[in-house]
Amino acid sequence: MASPQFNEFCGRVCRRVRFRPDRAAITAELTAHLEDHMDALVARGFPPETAARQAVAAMGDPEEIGKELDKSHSPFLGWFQICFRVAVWGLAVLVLLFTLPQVGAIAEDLAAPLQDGGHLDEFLTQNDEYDIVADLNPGAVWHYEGYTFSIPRALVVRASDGTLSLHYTVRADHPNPWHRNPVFWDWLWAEDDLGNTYSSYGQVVPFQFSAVRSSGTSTTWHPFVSYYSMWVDRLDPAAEKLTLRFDRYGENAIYLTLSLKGGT
Amino acid sequence: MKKADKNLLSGSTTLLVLSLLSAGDKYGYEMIAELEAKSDHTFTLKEGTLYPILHTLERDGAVKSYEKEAPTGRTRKYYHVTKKGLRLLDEKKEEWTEFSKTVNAILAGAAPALA
Repeated sequence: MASPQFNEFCGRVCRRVRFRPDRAAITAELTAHLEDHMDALVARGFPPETAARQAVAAMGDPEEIGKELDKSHSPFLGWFQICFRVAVWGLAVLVLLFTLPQVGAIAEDLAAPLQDGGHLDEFLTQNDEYDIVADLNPGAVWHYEGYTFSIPRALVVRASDGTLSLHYTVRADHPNPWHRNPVFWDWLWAEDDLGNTYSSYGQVVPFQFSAVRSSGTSTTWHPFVSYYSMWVDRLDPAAEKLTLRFDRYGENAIYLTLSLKGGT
Repeated sequence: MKKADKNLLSGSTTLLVLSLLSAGDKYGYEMIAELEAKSDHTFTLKEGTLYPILHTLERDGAVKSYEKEAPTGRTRKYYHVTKKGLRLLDEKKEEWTEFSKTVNAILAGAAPALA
């Protein structure tokens, strides 16, 4: 239906519009108008040729229309918008390209592995002179100010000189990611059922390294779970139970009791 | 009826366009046809001048456009008046009322002298 007269008219309008990307839309809109007007005239009985000519004439001066349209189709703004859009999409694609390969790691980080006994496995391979006396899964749990402390795995091992020591993993669950990795390892001391105490760094004053019998450090932390690799040295062989305590600020922030016998 | 003067009309075309759109979304030719019908063919503005007005209103956020199939079965670019456009309509209406009141007052005052 696009009459050559319509094309010519639209072409003359669009020549005045400097922002080329908008010309197609303007042509489509003006052509639609011309067609509608022509159809209305044909319906009133005009021959198509006359109707098309009248429709074009009713539009007015194409140069004038083009000049006016150019004012609201500023090339500067138009190109700026296009560049902006390209930049935003480009950035989004780049971000995706860089993050997608890490999605697995991020998901794992968020989900937080339920088991993190890797540190103890590593400890055993690096210290194969130790004999495993007991491999324990203590069920003790301690809640304190939003934290849940537990011991997923503990090992009682005997060194070549016969001394016993405990190596264990502490897991701290925390719903608030800002509270990850709470610091307690330098103040976590222990006492056994026979009344022996095993001092941490915090209790040894003045400091003397050989007097520290309970210590460790934080190993990995995720948004909702943190893990620690801890040890208690020179256990009393007769002790059956051990309680790990963090009470630096008066209350028992950590109070976990585990049995030293049994296990596998 | 004599055709209205083009200059008198051009300043108020924005007002007429917004007023038409406030009654419902329309495409360009629909507005022209309605304008002619409502004004009993007094307003036969150059139809092409409608589009620079619509595009300027769209750039200023007074109207929004979208493509939709018209009752004729063809796809047309419809215009929808925004909240900002409705506020602009109120302003323009007030301006127009003020203007016509002033003109009428002058005409009323001048009438005896002309008689």
